[in-house]
Amino acid sequence: MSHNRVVPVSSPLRIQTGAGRAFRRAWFIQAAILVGLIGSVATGLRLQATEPQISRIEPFLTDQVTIHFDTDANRTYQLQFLHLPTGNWSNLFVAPKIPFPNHYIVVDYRTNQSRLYRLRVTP
Amino acid sequence: MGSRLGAAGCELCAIYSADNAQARNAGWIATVSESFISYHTVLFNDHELSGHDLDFRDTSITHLVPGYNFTPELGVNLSIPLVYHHFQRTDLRYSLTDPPVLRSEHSTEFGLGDVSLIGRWTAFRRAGMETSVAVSVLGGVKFPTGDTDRIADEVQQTQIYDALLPPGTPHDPLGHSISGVHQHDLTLGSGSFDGIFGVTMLSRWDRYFFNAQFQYYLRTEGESGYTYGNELMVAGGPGAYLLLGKSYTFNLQANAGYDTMARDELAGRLSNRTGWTAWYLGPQLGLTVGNHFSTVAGVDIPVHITANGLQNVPDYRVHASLVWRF
Repeated sequence: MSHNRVVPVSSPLRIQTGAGRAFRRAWFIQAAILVGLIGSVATGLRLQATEPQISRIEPFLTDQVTIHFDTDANRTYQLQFLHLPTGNWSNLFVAPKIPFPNHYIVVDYRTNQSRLYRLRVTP
Repeated sequence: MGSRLGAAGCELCAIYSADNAQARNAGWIATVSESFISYHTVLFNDHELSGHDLDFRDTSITHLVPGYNFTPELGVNLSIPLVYHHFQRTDLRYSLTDPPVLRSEHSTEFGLGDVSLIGRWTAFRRAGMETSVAVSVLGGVKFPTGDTDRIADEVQQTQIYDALLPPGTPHDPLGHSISGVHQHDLTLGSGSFDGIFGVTMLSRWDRYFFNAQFQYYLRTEGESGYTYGNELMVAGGPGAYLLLGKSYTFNLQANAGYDTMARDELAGRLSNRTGWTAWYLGPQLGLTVGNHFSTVAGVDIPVHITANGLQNVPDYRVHASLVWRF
């Protein structure tokens, strides 16, 4: 038996490309983190793992952003995005389950819409 | 080629096999040497990883070694390696425009490796019925004849990964890779001119003998600025002639090996995901027939391996050689 838990979303990160044209050209990058933790009811043990976190989102080149996050060993991480104001969560990148920790950098395109990111981890 | 291949790329081993044959006259000599290494053990900072479907590679190198001895003391050999890799690797491919892509390869690589030209000089020899000792010095150059596309690709991935990180962020130049089988493990050539140095010692007392060889590979900058770490190999051990006939001999040797490789440099930085040290033990059999033919075969089992970062390391090595003196 397992369960998922959602932790509070991190504060939105707002980046504006130009003060005078902020309204028209501004774009927003908002990061959210969804944590899925699966506890083992059978053993009564809770997984001792680092809380998933998007560590950095920053502009890259002229029309892109890079999203950085670290991973624990033996867990699968899904970096997902959501167009605002409505839309469905979609996978931007899936970091595979590997038997050692790692750091990932994911490139995404900027748009003139707000976009939310979240990191989903299993188990 | 040499480098990641450890003793599989051991250019001097084939020469050493020829040097080890009984008859020593001026003239042509031909050697075919085969090395097979299974790399199915994955180490991450010296800890063995377990799991299903881990990356692996099996490497086979066949050395064709024509040689000519000007005198019994002085000879030259051309080592022509044919390299074959069978491997599985899953790794990320980064780009400057899109998210990284997970790419799996279950494939083979085959082709000409880096050719070496090696000279031999027997600096000391004393031979009698009861005892004999010979010390030879070997030196040569490894030429960049093997294909280097995989190194170029690996360095390009490093450059992309560097560009994605904020300037000054400390990271390993192979930080982009999540596989223990790297591109520089699968390359056929290094793209570099490397120095090869060695000393061999053959000694015998009655039916017993002790052989040893020391090898050092001095690497220089190769494809896309990639520089393999220098490598030192020491091998040898005691043995005995189990059969001694008028026209044949058969011997058994207890062979021990030490192989250490420094870290590689790429993009101007040393990688802490390269470099390793291994100790081996294993038996080696030798057979000579007449004055023209000799053969050697052996197995090396690693008894201790340390490796930096994430690397596939040998489970065992098998080597054999056939020598014909014309």
